[in-house]
Amino acid sequence: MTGAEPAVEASGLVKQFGRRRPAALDGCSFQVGAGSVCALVGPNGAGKSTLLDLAAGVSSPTEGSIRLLGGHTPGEVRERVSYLAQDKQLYPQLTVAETLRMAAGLNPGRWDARYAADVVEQGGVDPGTRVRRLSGGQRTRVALALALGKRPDLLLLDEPMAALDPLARKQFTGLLMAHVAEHGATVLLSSHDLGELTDTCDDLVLLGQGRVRLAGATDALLDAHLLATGRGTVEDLSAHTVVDSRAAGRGTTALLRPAGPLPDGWSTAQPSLEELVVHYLGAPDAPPLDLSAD
Amino acid sequence: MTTHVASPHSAFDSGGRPGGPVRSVIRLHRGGLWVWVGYLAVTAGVLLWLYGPGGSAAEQDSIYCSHHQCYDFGAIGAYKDMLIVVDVLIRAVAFLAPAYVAALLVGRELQHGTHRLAWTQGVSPARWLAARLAVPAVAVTVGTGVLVALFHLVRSAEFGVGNWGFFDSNVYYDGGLLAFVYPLLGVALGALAGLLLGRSVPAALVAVAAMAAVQLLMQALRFKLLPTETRTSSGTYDVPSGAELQGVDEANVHHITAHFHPASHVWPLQFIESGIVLAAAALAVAGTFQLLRNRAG
Repeated sequence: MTGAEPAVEASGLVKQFGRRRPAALDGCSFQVGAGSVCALVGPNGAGKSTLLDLAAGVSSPTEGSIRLLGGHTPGEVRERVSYLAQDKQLYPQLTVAETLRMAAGLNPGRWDARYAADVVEQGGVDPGTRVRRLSGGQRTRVALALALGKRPDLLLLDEPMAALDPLARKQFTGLLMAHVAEHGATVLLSSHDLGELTDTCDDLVLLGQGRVRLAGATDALLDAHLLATGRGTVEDLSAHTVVDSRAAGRGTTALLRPAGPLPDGWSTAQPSLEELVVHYLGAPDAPPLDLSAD
Repeated sequence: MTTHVASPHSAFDSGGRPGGPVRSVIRLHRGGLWVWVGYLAVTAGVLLWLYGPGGSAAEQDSIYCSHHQCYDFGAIGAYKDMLIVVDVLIRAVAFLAPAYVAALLVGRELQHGTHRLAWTQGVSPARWLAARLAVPAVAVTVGTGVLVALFHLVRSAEFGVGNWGFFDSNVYYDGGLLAFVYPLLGVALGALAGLLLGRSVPAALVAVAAMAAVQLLMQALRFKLLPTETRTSSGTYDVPSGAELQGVDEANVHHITAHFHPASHVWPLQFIESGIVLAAAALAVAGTFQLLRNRAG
């Protein structure tokens, strides 16, 4: 984690929709350092969108709290936070230009009209087009222009690249990273696609069933784990915290948190981010690890 | 990738000024505002017809009828029918306002998720809501003001047709404060139902049902808001001209008591009823803001 004050600080977040349903978030705590790009991953229904709604201040937690940009409630720092929700809802009856004008009126003092117009125009979107006629990719482009136009200090993005082809993804990431580089902004972004995150993310939060299963700097998380392969069985590794193991050929492959040197006959490698996440997803009962709180 | 630091263009177009949320409501609901203008134009057209050709024709037929013993003949029937149409059109505003606010101004945003966009701009959700209350409130008040003024113009023309006493139900509503306060309550109920239910159609149904319930209740209470005056007479009962009879006690043929509201009660009664309706609207508005605060900090 970088920076002194965390940009996002969740403590004991619980969000319950209706009494009979299981909690969408069930005691969720982690921190994201200022200036970091943090990936929020997890299976469907893990609570990623719920968490981002809470961070954006469009819904409030049943219990616990979320603080942004140095201890503020989401409501206190609305003008410094942008939220790109999953469905990228825009007002269908407006044209792209009207949408940008509206955002200008709603973000007094912060709106960079030129920059927002550039983001739209670089995507080849005609400002006179009605939003309802835009393709999924163009809609994402306009939504990104709205999010970046207010020059936010914190960007919350929910599956931002789902509707984009590979080239558009590359452009999207480029715009995002340029903003991060210029403004030192923090990004919390949820995604299914781990491949696109590997190069860009400093931090990772893995959610499962409404709880944090992994949180921290990706480097630190990777350093804390080993991918071990050996002839023996998983019982040989009982001195270590085994996250997930599976039979591989005549032996065993296991992702573990080493407590010391491994027994003889086991070869080790550092897992990739994708391997780390996939092993955790395959082992929903593995003990959680939070390295995010310094 | 172009980079911009403190772009000099950021002052370009509407940025910066506090009217942002109001302007955005107007921009988003231009269609609805035009429909409202059309509705006003149609209603005003009927009122002007009553004031002009419709009224004159009815007056002539009414003079003819006073000599030939006929009833609702020719133009008189048309005039009375159009008075009913005007009454329905003016009263309907109190139901159209909650339906529109609940379904299209508030409920649709939550249903489609555009509130996630609206509530994460630089202005607070409270101002988002305030604009969604203020714009329809001003629109219905101004529009109703025009219609009520035209209604009084027609009333003042005295064509000798129709019931124009202030206690007559159409005059009591269309020509008084009620035509203003019920649509305002409708706006408040619409916003409350829209935010509470978060879906267009159920929110509109609930808001309209709530308006119907309030109106039925107030209709029952309307003339009980002030004590009636009484007049006792023998053989028959009588009340002063312009009074609204509320009941008759007949102890015996020489002692018949009429309970009535004299004409002087019209405005006190209207003020009390309007006060109750506006208090209910204020309560609904306060509840809506509280609900929003609980939801979106």
